[in-house]
Amino acid sequence: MLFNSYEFILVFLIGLLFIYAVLGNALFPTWIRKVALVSASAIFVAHGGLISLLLLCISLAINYLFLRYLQAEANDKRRKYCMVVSVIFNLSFIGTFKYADFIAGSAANVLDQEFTRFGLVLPLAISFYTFQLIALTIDSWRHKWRCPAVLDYVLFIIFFPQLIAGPIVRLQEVKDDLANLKGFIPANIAAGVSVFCVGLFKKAFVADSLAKHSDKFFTMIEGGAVPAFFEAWGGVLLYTFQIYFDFSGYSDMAIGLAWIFGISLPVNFMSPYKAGSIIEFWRRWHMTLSRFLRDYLYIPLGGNRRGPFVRWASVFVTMLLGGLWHGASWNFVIWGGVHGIGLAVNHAFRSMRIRLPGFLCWGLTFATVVFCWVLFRTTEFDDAMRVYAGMLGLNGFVLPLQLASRFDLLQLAIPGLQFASSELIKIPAIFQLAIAVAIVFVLPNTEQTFRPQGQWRSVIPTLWAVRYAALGFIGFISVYNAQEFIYFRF
Amino acid sequence: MWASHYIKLFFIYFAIIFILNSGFVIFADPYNIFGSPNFKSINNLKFRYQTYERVNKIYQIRRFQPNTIILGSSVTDVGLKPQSVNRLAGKTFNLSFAGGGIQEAQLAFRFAAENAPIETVVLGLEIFNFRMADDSQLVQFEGRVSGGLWATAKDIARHTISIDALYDAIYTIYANLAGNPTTHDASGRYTGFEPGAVPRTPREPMGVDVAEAAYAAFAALCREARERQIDLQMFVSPLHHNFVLKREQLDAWLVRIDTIAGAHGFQIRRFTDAQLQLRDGTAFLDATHFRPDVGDRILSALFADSARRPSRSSGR
Repeated sequence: MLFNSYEFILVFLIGLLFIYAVLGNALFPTWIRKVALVSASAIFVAHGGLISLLLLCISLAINYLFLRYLQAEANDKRRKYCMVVSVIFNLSFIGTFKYADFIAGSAANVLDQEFTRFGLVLPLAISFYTFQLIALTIDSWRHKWRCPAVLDYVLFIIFFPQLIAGPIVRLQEVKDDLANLKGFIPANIAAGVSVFCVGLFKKAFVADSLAKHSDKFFTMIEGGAVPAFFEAWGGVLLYTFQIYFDFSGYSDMAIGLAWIFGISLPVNFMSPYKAGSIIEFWRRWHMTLSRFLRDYLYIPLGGNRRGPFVRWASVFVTMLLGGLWHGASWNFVIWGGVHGIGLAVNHAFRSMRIRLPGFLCWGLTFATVVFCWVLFRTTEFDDAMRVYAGMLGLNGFVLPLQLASRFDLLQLAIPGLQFASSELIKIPAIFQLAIAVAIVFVLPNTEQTFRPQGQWRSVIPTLWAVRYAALGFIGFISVYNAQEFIYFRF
Repeated sequence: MWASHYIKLFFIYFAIIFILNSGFVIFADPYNIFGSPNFKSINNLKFRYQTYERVNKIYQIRRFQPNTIILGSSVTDVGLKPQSVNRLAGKTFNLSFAGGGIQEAQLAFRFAAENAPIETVVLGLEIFNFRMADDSQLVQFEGRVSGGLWATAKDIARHTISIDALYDAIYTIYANLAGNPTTHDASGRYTGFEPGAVPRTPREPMGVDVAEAAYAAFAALCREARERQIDLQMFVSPLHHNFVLKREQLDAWLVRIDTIAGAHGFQIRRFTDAQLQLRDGTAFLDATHFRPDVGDRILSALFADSARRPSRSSGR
């Protein structure tokens, strides 16, 4: 079930809000509200297939046994073994369902053997809840936490706003909210609904409008089209902003929904395209994944404690695996690897104290990110190379015919510039892209608006209701053209 | 305190915007759904007609109340002028759809027969109409013509409270003010068709996968026409002589449709190139779409024969 669907908004959400409003009465104990949220979340998962729910329950049950053991066992060595076994179990679990075809297919390719796909179903949200479970087990081992109560534990993992595409939450971030689950609080509803509307607007209106054009561009690329300079940049920039609005829109919806129920989820995006370095980009993009990779992969691999070589190698390996997390495909691995190289270079520059002007830093960072999205979006290496050739001007320069009368003087400045009827980039796409760019670079982000200094605003100006009602309405009427979230595939 | 006030205001504003948006779309009526009053140079021409032909025509026909409808695909949509039929068989509406198959034609026929005083139907048949229909499109269309309350409500909501409807309403007003040309006339005929190339030499014979469900839909259409005592005028749409179909397939199809039509007491007319002057270099807009002059000849021939037959009131 998509957040940006009428069945979710008009049936699931309104139904749940109604039930929760009744259960919010002080007459009802907290555990009933937890049961309501767990049940609703289970329905949410089951809607995507009963097998997904079944596998989630299996994973939850087995991980709970590990957690109980970690609590009961006093011997550090055994506790460590238990933690290692649980991590292996979780990695095997995700590996079986998500990577089995990829690993076997790649091996068959290397050995030049025939390969038939296993055809295993990819359970809904497996990438996200598995990481959350790994983090929970490792933290329980490290900090000797008490195993949470069953209901809190299940709700922590299965809570529907964050289940499918994050943020990847840590128990200590929501422990208090979960334990003291109250009924509706008007201030939370006001902020939560507004943030949800922002997310809906970002996803249904902005991202899906851009998707129409960028999908067309990449479909044509997959069909063998050779893009010229402006077409290539246009298509890739459309995707650059589409994926940002798609994923940050989802995160906003998740954060807003959770806050309606009084659970504060962590920040996941902080204007990543304003970043002045690749290091900063990863501190602003999918922040909870970056944090997970840092704490549970990069630091255990050696981090920055064993000299620059180990540090750069750790960064590179972490990003390779981070890329692989996004999908069982080599293009994601290469994408992660290129970002890893970017991070390593960035660290090297810092250690050599090389400083560049701010605007140049931003430009280089943004260009690197945009170039990398090509690898992320294309499935064939040849396709990516054709797009890169276009972006570098190797396929000529073509502008849409409609611009000929206004920009004909450009022909003097750019030798070989042609005006032609372009199937790849149309005027509406340029217009929509300009709106997206303006939103990203001019307006404050959702966090700055609603959670300045990391705390939810105590008061929201009443007039803002007009703004968010308008955004919510535009998002709502855009739902007819809804597309799946890009990160649902991961 | 502030929060309760904020939430109330939020929902009030949301409702106001909802009402304003719906009112604006209903006023512009980009898909002819509501039959809103037409104001010249403001909302009288519908510029998204072609894209939403299957919406426009279905809602339009209730208000138009024709005696005669034309069914078929883009070939009849472009080639048969309702004005020409008007002279022969009363108030006529072109209910053909670009890319429309026989299953859609059958559903459209039933809808028209239930919602307008239909006496005559002109049906242009091509082997291409008998291919497998696009299921999702057919289901959506079926919902629209079914007359069910839920399906109708969903359809109207889809074409009123959606971002596309808002864009199209804005565009309708803008294009009317700007005096842009439209693609359809008031009787539903596609006037904005852009001619393509006519093959200069005979093409390789083309094969067509015909679907069994299409024959069933055709039989249902014939049966319903007979039961409702509607005069069903059918003909095989002519193709450019250089556009060649696989002979065996075509013959099998012709035999099958003749048999079905004959079983219900109808006849399917086939015209020779000479009858319709198809060898004239200007007879076709492209390989499959004949010009309206050819359409006029077809209609004259159909209704000349029809006049010789007993009328509906005397029974068939």
